[in-house]
Amino acid sequence: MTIISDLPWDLVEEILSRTLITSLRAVGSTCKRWNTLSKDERYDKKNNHKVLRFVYDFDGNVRHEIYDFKSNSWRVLVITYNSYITFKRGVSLKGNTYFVDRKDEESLICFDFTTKRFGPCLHLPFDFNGYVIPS
Amino acid sequence: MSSNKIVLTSSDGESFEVEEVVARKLQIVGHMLEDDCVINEIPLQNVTGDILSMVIEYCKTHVDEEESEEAQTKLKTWDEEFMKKFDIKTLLQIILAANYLNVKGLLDLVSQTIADTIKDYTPEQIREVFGVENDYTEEEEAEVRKENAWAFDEADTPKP
Repeated sequence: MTIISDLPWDLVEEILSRTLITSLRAVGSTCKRWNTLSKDERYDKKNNHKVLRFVYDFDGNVRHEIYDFKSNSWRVLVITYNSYITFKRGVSLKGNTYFVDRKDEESLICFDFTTKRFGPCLHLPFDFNGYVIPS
Repeated sequence: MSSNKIVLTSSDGESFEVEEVVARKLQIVGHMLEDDCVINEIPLQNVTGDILSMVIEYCKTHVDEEESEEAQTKLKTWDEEFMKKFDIKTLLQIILAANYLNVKGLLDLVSQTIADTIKDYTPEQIREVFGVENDYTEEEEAEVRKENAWAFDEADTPKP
């Protein structure tokens, strides 16, 4: 096998951005630069379809998992945010999904599917009184 | 459409006479023609004759990109068959040529084919093919492999 060591970096990026998410292990383990790239959020844009689920255990703890259609699997997210998302219907806007959260007070919490992280809380300008359904 | 002929010459001196519409699929050639329309022989220094002939074959097939679904399906099938002819080494040479000659469709096609080809490769195989140097220490590599393996263990174990 002839080694192609002078492949321009933008071509490497182009190829890796099309690699299925299931190849991440091999790609990331190749070298440091590729590992960084494989974790780049831009890299994920072509592997776009994801589902977030909340898994509650008997102690009331919640685990967040992402389903990825490409790899056909649930991945547990390491998220320290302990949500109290009572009404689990979310609303999606520009790639982010917003849920109503009742941690301390009624607020909107945003989940960013690109970074797979919860964003800042947006406080609602009214008192909680019954269910709030985002739409 | 003009049936003007253009001669493309590879780095190893091989010449290809193609119709101007085909040559214009190579954007590098398109730009040269716009700058000076009397050129009829174009030297392409960064691509060898065997690779250039494949790029030209692609451009000839894609010269009339029809919108109809039937034509698109036919082209897609042709693309798949065309890509099957090449091993990874040749694919990497074609991607370099497509990049240099600026043939967007071919660049997309080859990128996807290479991505599909390397998906089952081990890190060692990827390093070998791409000439990537392993810059991890032994400890770091064990760590990163563990970290990257995590997603797969999850995938292998169905949740109750």
